[in-house]
Amino acid sequence: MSGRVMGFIGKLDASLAVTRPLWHWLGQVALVVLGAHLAADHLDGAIGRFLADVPVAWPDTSTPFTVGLWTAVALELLVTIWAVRTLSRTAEHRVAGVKDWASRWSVHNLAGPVFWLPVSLAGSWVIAMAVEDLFPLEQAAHVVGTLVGLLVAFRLAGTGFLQLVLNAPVPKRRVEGWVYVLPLALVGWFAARYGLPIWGWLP
Amino acid sequence: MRWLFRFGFVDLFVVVVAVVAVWSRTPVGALGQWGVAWVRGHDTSTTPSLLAFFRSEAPVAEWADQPIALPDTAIDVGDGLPEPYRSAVRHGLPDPLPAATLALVGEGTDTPADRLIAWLDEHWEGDPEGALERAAIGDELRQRAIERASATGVEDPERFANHRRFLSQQAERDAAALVDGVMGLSVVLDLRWPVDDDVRISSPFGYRIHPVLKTKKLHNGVDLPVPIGTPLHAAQSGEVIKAGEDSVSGKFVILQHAGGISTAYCHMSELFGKSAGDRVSKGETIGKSGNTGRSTGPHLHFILRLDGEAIDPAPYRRGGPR
Repeated sequence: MSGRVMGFIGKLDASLAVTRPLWHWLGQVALVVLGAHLAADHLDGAIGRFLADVPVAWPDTSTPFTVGLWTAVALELLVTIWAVRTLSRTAEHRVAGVKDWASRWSVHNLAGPVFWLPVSLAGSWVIAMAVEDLFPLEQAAHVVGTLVGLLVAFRLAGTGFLQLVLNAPVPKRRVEGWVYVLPLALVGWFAARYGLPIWGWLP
Repeated sequence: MRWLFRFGFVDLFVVVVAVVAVWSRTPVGALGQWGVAWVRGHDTSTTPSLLAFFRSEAPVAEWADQPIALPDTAIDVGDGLPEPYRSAVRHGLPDPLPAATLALVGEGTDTPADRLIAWLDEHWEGDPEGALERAAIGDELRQRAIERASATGVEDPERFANHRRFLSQQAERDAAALVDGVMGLSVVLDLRWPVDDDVRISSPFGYRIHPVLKTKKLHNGVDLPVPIGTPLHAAQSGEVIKAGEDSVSGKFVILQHAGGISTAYCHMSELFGKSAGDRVSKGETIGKSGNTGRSTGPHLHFILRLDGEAIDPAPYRRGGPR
């Protein structure tokens, strides 16, 4: 490729990078939604089974599972709203250091990154699997899927996590964000348990 | 690659991939599609439902596999038998079988149902679920899903029920249609009659004038005239979903089997201590017949249901209805 063409592409790449704040958050939120959906797809059955064991006279045996399904949908939508709010609330300036971050600690600033990491990584794996399933060359599908998954994890999950940690907003109250803790913990745990392809390697 | 060091293109690519995935494969995307259709004045009923991207978690009885002539297998059939197997069961004899199954069991002089039974017999030792899944989607996709399930630490990833989530939605649908359909069909084909096979049916399934109420009513099962105290056997392996007594059915037991199939046994005299959640195996004695509830004489009222809808059990009696 000639230097001129490369220079043009480089400029275009730089121009796109300048506009990144306008659209990059959309991908980060989308990744969290994908991870949350994977978690919710397992969570609905777990809630259903839990409710079925509660000594309540359900109209029929499928009612607890219907309730579980809609609860999972509600949690997924709640997580979407949380992700948009959280990204939009990050501070403009990075924290100066550990002391500065410690001075900003709050339930929201602690729970956010802890939840973000497993859910966004689960979202990356969802994309890796989807690319693998859709890639036309079967022999290369696994490699391509893995590469795209890693790229997504690096550029969306990773940057989002760093943004939440390094651009933690100054809290008005330390306990702010507590209402989200239980739903985030539920979805986060299920994303970690069922959305990370690591558990099979562990002894 | 220095000319890409600002990650403009790379980031745009990953954002587009993530957003397209959300748009086409999640409830949030479904909500977005509904919103866009609504704003543009288009038909919103064609947009996917919020629940369209969830794998079903309907309650399914699970029990140990038993290598018998036909499999009593724990299969996750989600909402129950898929079409066209549902129609095949509902309309009595499962003949002709759906095209995919016919392709599997091949041509022959005996009935398709017999060929299906023979096919299942032949493949039972060698994993009939796996054979059906391979026939539907091929070995490559199956292995991929098994590897993914293994990576997340799923137990027994070779089972279709345990790795189906890791298939793409289309592949899962294709595989489930054949696996759930054939395995579910085998559940009804292999029903055991709850009393001796030679007991005649005194009142068949269908509409009739009710002997007590004198009104036209669907007789939702078959009446089998047996003396009080006759042992009653579970028609299939499954789970007790209800056992109790009321003024109409008398003492009764309802069992949930795989494939969305359930059976009920009414007017019993004894329940043998069965209660909801108990597992029963095929042929196990679950109680004794009686004359309790709204009954005109000692008999067993036997009900067969597919996804809650009563169907005629007579065609599934060995040797057909009598």
